Amino acid sequence: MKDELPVIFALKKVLESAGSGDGIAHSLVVELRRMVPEGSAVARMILLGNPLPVSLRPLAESKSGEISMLSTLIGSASRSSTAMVGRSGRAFAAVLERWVRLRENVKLEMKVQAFRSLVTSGVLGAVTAMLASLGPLVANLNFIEGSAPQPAGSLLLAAGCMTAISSGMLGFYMSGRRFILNVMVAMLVFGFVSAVVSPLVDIPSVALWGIK
Amino acid sequence: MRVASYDHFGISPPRIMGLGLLASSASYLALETSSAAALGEAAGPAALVVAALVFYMVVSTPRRILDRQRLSEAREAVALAASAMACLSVTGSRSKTLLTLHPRDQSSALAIRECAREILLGFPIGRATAESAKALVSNSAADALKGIASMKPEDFGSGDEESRGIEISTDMYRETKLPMFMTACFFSPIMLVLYSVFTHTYDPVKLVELVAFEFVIVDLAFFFSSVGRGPA
Repeated sequence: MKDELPVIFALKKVLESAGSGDGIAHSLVVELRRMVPEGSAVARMILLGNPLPVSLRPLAESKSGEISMLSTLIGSASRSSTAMVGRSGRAFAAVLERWVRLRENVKLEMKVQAFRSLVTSGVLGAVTAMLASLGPLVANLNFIEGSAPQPAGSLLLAAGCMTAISSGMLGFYMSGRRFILNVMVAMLVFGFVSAVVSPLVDIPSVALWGIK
Repeated sequence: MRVASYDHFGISPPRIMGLGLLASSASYLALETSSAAALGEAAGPAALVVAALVFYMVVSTPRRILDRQRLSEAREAVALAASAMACLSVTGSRSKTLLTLHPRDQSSALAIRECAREILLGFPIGRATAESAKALVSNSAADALKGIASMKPEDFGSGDEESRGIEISTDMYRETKLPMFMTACFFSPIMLVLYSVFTHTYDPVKLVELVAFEFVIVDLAFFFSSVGRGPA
């Protein structure tokens, strides 16, 4: 769920008003009617006369575990006491609020890490492209007899595949489905660096033997 | 040999060790055969390392499942204690309270259902809760359940403390594993490209083997780094 905190705050207010003796259904309608889509659905179902546990189902089946827990507790008020649920639920809501805030912080950290992974993918693309392009040339340098040309095309392709795999995994670890961004960044940098470096590879080598 | 996670799931240690050996032998043979041409003499030791990692992966699976279950139960213990507190003070009945509770967590719900079944069969509530609490991994969830039987519902602070502790340890795991994973992802393609350059490996078939080997390395690193990330 995208905006968990406002819903948690609203449910906390519902529990506070229940603890001070107000009706839960009334408080739910007042607090949740402007919250789309789950909140307004709950308010509409209450106004249509559905029982509390049934009306709270959109929130109880929410993807957010905290909202689901809190709404299940509010729904249990019909089986126990509204005032008691309100009293015990206030501290409970505070704990859940802390959990949600903690998760928001983790999400912010993950955003920073996702950016770092993009930078790492770019650097990886540059380094592997450089190695795959210039590596065969450097490894075969022979100043006496001249270097034999090496077919680096398949190595470049293999290096591209390895870069795509590594950057994809890194992206998947950091930002889930948006791993494709990492792959794109890595491959763009890889392509750019190999295009820039390729003229160097095509320079014919000259034997230095006998040159003063 | 006694391992808590094996005992909890009723797994016999020799059996899971055998399974681990089978999986690691299969991975060793597969990797040794598939990368022998490209890696040459290095294929054996590399396959051995991968096989050891696969063995650890298999034998530590119950522990990972148990850790995840513990976090889920500890979080549920908070809700369980809050609703038990409200229900118990209104009904004044331990049995009614237990029959009314409907936790969202699957293992907690199973324990409560088992407890309710025993109560309906006429067993004393103390024994029923104690027996059902044994199935729970989280101490705070077990305490919340036992607290109902003793008419002293546990303060849900204990569940909060336990889940906070698990979250802190999860964060620390993440902080340790992230640099390791980044290192594996960054350096494995570089090292393999360097390897193919210095060993003059330009044959497409051998390069495909190297790409497959890199995938295995990164995939294993991904698995070990993802373990313990848990729900944030």
